[in-house]
Amino acid sequence: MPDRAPLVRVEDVVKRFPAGLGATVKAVERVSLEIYPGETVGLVGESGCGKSTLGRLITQLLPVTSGNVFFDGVDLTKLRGEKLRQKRRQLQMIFQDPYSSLNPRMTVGDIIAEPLENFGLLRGRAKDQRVQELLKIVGLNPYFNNRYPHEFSGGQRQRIGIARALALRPRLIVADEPISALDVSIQAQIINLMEDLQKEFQLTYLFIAHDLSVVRHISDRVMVMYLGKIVEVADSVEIYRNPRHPYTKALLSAIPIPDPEIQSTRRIVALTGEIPSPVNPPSGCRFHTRCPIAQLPTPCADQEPLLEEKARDHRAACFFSEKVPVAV
Amino acid sequence: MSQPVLQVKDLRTQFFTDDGVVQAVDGVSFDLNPGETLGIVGESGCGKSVTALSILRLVQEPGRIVGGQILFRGSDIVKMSEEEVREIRGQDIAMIFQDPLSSLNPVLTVGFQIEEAIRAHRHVPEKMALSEAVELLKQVRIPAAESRVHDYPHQFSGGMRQRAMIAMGLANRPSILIADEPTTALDVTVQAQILELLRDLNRDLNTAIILITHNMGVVAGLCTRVLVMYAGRVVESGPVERIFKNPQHPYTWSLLQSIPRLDSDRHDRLLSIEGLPPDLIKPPHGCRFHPRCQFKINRCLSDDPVLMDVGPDQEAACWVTMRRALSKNGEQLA
Repeated sequence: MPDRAPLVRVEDVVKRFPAGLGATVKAVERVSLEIYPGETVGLVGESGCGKSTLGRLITQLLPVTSGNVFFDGVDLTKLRGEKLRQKRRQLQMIFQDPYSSLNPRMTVGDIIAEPLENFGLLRGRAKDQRVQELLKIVGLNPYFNNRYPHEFSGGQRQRIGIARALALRPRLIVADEPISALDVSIQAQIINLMEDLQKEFQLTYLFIAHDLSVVRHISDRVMVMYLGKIVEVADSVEIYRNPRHPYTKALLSAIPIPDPEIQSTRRIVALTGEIPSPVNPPSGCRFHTRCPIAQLPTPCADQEPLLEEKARDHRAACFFSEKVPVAV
Repeated sequence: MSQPVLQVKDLRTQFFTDDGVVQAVDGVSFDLNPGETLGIVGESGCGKSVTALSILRLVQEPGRIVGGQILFRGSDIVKMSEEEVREIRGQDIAMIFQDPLSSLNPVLTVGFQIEEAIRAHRHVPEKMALSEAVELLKQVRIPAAESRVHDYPHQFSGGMRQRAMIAMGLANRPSILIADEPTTALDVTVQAQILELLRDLNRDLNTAIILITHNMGVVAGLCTRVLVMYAGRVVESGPVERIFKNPQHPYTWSLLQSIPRLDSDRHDRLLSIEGLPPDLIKPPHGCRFHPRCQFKINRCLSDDPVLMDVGPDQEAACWVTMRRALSKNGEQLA
């Protein structure tokens, strides 16, 4: 990565949720990462791996259990009240479900204007003009500001969500599965829009998704999470060409490629079983219970591998990363 | 060539809503051969699920099959009595759904529900039904099947529930298994396991599979033949290799160009199909895809294209077809 200062620096962040009967869900366990200005970082993993929680910790929609989240050099976890609120203007979120993330009783204009009003930025005609401009930016008719969310399709609603996120001219947008609820032909529209907006407004994206083909397409760097831990981080071309963690490899091989010829010759690294519970994650490397190359019990079941540099700008948390087979 | 096990001819299913008549399935025809794996792909609202539900006569009010034939081994399911259909359901044609949690009864054990499926069609003593249920769970690779058979659905993970649904579907050795988005709710690594299971079952038991999905990748991995649906109609059909390599309908072509692929150049901009699928109460005149089609000619606005031969065993409903559309732009086809 360039020698610029990161826009976001997450240090040793832990998030635990009480799960009843004294149990604890270890959703995010000692995660550290950086996001640089202007880049798109993809965060992938299967359901329950903690990727959405991590996104919400970065935007401070959830308080951390421990650790620090620096945004532009300021530790957000130390800010409270008005100071945090002001910082938050610069970090916005786009959510997965365009149906439940827009208030059905508000007009689209009011939804998009709400952040402007919250911060007392624009009033009257200036505000209306800004709303119409935002609608135009996301490819909607600017005169739709008096309509209600139910009058729009899923893809259009996602555009409304994006307009709302852009209203305060943020620097970072955390997009949590922004296209997975949309139809295939609409997904490309939203991906292209997000790419255009990034160029136009110098946005930084954290793009959270489970679909690695989409993440690879949109991201400069990719981070792979498994059971609350980041297991691999690399440039998005490099991670697909040369995965250094067996979980990444398995995830890649499981993604169907829309080409019957290629698909029939691909070898799937079959993972047995499913993700263990984050209430009681496996000892040592959390992936050892499903790993095809684990050496048991030592070291994989009794030592925790660190996220280490395996090649230039390529980190993985695996004792046997050189044994991960290459090429998908 | 063997006789098709299922023939759908000009199927029309409509929903009579307060806003008007929704032409959800509008003249769909296809044959399914024994042991074949057929994929039906399309976006939400294209009529793929309604087609599947129509085959088992499971379309709910205000929906109704208003025309066409569904011939199962020569007899028309559309004309059968409710009793006759019930004989076929689960016995000859079984169906599994996207969300296994809502298809299973939460207050009954998984084993009991599989036994129910067995005993609905065969007189089997309780003990034997239980051991059959265990065998079925083993067949779908549920570990420790002897004890898991007594579990309730909530004790199963998502992938295991879908396996249990498949076990239930296989209980009476149906000749056709209809799988409606069977992996959409699952994680990719679990999806890969379920697809492998379906592939093995198709090979080992020679069960014909109709796979309904929006995911082109899933079709590429499992199916031998594909129907592409748009706005209630089949717009293209053919062998899987041809559909993916040499799609002739602009919708199929655009759909394939609009999905990011793991093996493509990352910086290629995705082709986006502008606009939205049409309202099926008042579908557009002419070709239903024409408002979103970048290759349309005047004829497409008024004349409704029918399926025409565009290659070996391949049909497309398009006046232009990609062969002509691309050669006009100077591009070469593979």
